Amino acid sequence: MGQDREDGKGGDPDVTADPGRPRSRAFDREIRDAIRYEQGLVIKALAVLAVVAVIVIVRTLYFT
Amino acid sequence: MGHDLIDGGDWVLVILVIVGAFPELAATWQFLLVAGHFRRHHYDACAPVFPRTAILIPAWNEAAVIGASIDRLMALEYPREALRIYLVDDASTDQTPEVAAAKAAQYPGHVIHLRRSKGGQGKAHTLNHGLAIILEDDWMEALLITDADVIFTPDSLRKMTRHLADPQVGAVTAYIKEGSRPGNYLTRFIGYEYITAQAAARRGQNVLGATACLAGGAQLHTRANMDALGGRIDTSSLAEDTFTTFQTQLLGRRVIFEPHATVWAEEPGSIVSLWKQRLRWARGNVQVTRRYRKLWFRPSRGHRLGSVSFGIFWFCLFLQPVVMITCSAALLTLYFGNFPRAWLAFHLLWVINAVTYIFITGFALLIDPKIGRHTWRQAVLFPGIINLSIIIYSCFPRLFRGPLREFFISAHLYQAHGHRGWVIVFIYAWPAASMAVAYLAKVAEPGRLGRFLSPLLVYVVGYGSLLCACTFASYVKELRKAEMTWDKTEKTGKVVIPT
Repeated sequence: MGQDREDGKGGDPDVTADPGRPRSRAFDREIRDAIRYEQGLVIKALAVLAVVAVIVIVRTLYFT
Repeated sequence: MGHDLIDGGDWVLVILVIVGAFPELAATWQFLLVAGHFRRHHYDACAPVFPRTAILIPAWNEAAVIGASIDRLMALEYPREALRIYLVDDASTDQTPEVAAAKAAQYPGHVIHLRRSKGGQGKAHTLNHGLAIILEDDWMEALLITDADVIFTPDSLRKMTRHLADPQVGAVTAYIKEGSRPGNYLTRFIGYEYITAQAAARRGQNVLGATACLAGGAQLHTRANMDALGGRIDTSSLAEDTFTTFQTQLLGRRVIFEPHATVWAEEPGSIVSLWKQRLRWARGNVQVTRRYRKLWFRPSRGHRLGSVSFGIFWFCLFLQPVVMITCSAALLTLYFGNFPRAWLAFHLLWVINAVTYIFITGFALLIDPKIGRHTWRQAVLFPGIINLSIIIYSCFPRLFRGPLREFFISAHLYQAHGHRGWVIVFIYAWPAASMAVAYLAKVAEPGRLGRFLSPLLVYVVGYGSLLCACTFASYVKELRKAEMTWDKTEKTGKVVIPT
């Protein structure tokens, strides 16, 4: 289908609306995994903050 | 009295120097918000919905990549009867029409080839050509706008559409990763940048409830949202994605970033090409900043774009070149007027920079460990070798004082009787000067020595300074009211999805 719409003659494919699927175990598991990953990021952030704190303490105690 | 005035002026200068750390502090705040994403996410409102989705792909001379992209889209874990791909060929002069025709024949009824006889007006015009046709009937329930080179992982679209179960959501964007393999130093810098700018920043924006930009290569809209936007994409700027994002939120709909929907894109492998792309984006940001001037720092009930945090995030990026120049100017003024205070300000600035750098780099690499493994060298060297040296020096000055001092004195760079050495002047001027050197990297690239010199310069000045130079160039272009040209990034089909 170009600007002149000439190649739009192929007709419309028969596509019906998908009303959605019921929540499956797989879907719930995927959501749980996603949330778990996000929770893991909190641990990672805290771990990095701990490293930063150690560097600051070491610097303050031994390098000033 | 006179002394007090001088003293007060000095402190103003000290504050201006410390303001130099604001962009890093704002980035740190955004990264800290990431940690809040486990609570303030949108997953509770998700459901497995599969709306009829029209995938709109603007294409100009994309023969190298479009076939693989369409194959990937047709292999999505998504009901095939609910997928249609509209490829808008913007008067390509390569084999794109033939590839598109072949794919239309291979996937009858699912790949629709639209061709503009006159192209070159830009992406927004190309998208609008397709949109007008898609919106002619009521088949489309959701619209996915993507780019010809973008490769969708099989579960990406359904992970995006699950958010549309919430009627308040107007648009969803995915996590775009740099996928060029083997790639080069620049694509690896971009790969790391995308962890910070997407995986981290957009999670933070999810927590904040305000999204700066739907990724141009993966933005999913509801039909209601497209209708509310007038059924077309803004053509008056170079940042049509950002305008669409802002308008969606101003109309009261939510924009969600789905970090677990991954798509891969080929990003520029040369500075010249990157410069074109980023100049376009940066000019677009200038236009957005101007267009929405009444929005900033004005909280509203209907959206969060006016929140103070979002304004700080936006302007810390937008004004970073100004901040860097001001910081250098203040440091140099202090240096000649009140050296001890200059030293104090410099020290404070770089200690803050050091702490934020360690946190941001460490956390970013952990947010996306796979990309992190691929890009860790570029992550470490993101600020550039000189800035990194200053960071290490700021943290552990005693380690360096003896040997460095001896070196500088032997090289006649340091005056033993005082502090006023060229080295200090150089370091103080560096935040501003680094942008000029970054620009040299771009200028040098096409030349004979560019192949070696440009990467070296980028590593020395840092990728961040290169982006800042680009932002600075965008101010100049916009002030001059330069013509809005759409410099398309060339794609060659180097994307490989890591296993």
